[in-house]
Amino acid sequence: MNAFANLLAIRTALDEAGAPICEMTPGDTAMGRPSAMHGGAIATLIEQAGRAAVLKALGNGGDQPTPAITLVSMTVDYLRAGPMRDCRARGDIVKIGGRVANIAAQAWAEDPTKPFAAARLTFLITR
Amino acid sequence: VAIEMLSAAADLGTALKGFAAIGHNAALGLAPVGHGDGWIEYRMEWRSELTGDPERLLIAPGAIYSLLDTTCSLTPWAKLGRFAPSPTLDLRVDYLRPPRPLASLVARGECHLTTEHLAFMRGVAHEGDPTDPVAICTGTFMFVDLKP
Repeated sequence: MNAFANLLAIRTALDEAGAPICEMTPGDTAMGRPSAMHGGAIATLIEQAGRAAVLKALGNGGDQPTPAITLVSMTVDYLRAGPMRDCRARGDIVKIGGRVANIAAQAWAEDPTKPFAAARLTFLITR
Repeated sequence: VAIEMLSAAADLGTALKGFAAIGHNAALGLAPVGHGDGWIEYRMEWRSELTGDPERLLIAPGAIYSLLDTTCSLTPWAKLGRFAPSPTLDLRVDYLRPPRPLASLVARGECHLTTEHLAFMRGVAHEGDPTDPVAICTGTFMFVDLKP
């Protein structure tokens, strides 16, 4: 996990189905205004979840070196204020090919059916 | 309370300094560079806490997103000449190239247009030369009455 994700207390976990998710316990370093998370902290949580989804999909390549994945673009829709409470994000593979992975992701607090942010991410895969 | 205090700040420069001292912005180490008619600039000094790749010492994509988000969300003030809270509705960031190792970044936000409810923004993050950007962004921000 990278230093910036650590600064925001973001960690990778597995959900009930065994899919990778990211969790965050927002503290002062993630606060945008009183009682709400900063949009960039939310985006970082989502980016880490997207990256975890791509890494999982690429799997263990055996003797092959793990490909490098580079974020090309990220678009986040902010649906409601991100609460200063434990939250999660998940990335779903829309398409993954040899060079590009397209991810749809969302972040929520208590209820995954009520996300506070939804996003699309494009990663470049280089082998 | 902090928001109200800043809303009453006498000038944009003072307010931009105040916003830089709050929460996530403070963690980013933001410092205002300048502002003018419809634009503002913030600088983000390189620090190891902002990196995503420990070996290459590059500022993380998430931190670049945050820098651009903060910058663009406060830029409408430079257009309107008064403080109007405008949280992000949507923001797209394109990562044109990796930042250079140990490089600090500057973000400039510019306002395409403000309406009664919305501000349409663009932004660029660079290492000192705006014609050689690291990332660019496009976003929509909405004027609201924030309740504490």
